Amino acid sequence: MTKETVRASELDPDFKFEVAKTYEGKTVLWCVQCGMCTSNCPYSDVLDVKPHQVIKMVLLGMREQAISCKSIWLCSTCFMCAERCPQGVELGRVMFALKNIAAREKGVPEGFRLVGQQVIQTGRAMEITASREKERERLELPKTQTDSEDIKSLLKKLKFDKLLKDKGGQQE
Amino acid sequence: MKYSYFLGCQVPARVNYCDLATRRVTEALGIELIDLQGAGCCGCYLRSVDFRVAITLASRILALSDKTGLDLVVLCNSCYSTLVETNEFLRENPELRTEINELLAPQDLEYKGKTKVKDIIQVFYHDYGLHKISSKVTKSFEGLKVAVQYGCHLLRPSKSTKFDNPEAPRILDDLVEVTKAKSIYWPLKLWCCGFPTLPTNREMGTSLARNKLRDAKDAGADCMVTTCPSCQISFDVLQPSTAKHYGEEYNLPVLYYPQLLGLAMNISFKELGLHLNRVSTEPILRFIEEKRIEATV
Repeated sequence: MTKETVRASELDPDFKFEVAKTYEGKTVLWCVQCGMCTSNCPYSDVLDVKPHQVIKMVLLGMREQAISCKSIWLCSTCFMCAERCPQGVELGRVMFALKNIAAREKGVPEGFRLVGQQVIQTGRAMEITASREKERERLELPKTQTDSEDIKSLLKKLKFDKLLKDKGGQQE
Repeated sequence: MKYSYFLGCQVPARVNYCDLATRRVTEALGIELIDLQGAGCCGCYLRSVDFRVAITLASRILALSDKTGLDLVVLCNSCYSTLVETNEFLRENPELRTEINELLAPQDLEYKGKTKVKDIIQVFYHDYGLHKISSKVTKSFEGLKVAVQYGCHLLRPSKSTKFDNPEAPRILDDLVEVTKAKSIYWPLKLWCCGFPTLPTNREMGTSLARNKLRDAKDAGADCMVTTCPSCQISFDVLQPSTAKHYGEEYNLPVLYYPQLLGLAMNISFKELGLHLNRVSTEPILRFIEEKRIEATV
């Protein structure tokens, strides 16, 4: 983690409540900074901001830093942190809440934008190529069937295409 | 026994053999799986980007399933946890449920919250029963050392998934051991395969798969047995590229659980799609054949 001066005047003391108000982030306030999450994170050796530090940023009101840090997007969502947290902080879910805010304000990372577009176009997160469909035929497996238009219209109502278009690909 | 059956995205896109083996084994056991028509993405990937989008997609699948009146069987751990957690979110937050149902109404769908979501492993273990499964096993894998891979989203968050003891699970171990194979101790057993990080950082995602492959080999595993298509992709489909990337060789066969069970039930190699696994599964076959020779001698 790079050393930088944190100015009290730049903190957003309400940020923790903003996160705690989301469906996924409600347990964030219970953190006591014991570090159990970080010691159980498969990526703790390579992340520049460790899991417990992400939470500390939220609690301190370092809004900009928390939603800009790469760690939130690298989370493998393995939930080991949440499983072993003695305070019951659902950190995996808090990470989702932070990513949602970051997606709206900082943009959707390219990898997720591509998956998102795939879902809009085909109703599925992964393309079933013609050769895969052929393989299914050869194996006598039923043809896959997706109501992709229904899914597309739901996503349109949720303005998902707009979210991807406005901010898509702005993050690595 | 009759269930609604939801494939998810990964299986038809990358690992059709998981679907094939599941169908052949359930047919042989007399478990009926009825494909859920019209279902698409469960939303798991999009949860990172937009919670409402993910919950809406998951609710749509649950609403489709509600219409069938059957329990919903999934193969994919991510589908399992996304659907189970969606049930939980909508149960705990009535206003969210109302909002989602307003979105679904024009498509003549309603989330009623009646669908019970089950992983295929739970169907084998709880509904069909471990004891009954063992009575169907005709071939012994005695001496085969298996690294059992649960995958994250069946075990965790355990408060929601309610699958097994998250720190010392037994369900899949027991199901492997009905074939007389041995589930070995390997230190990284409960850890992530790295699959979900691949879209944002391929290097980091691959590093977790590599650690686990090496760990399983070091522990003396003859093969790995998984219950999750994502793990199956990480360890089987991507194993050659991981090996190349690190300049290492693993040659570790990775079987999807129904493939192992199917072999033990004397279903043929081809019917279980074992010729479609990326890493050769021949060593496992040779293993049964050698056993047979020993038995006749």
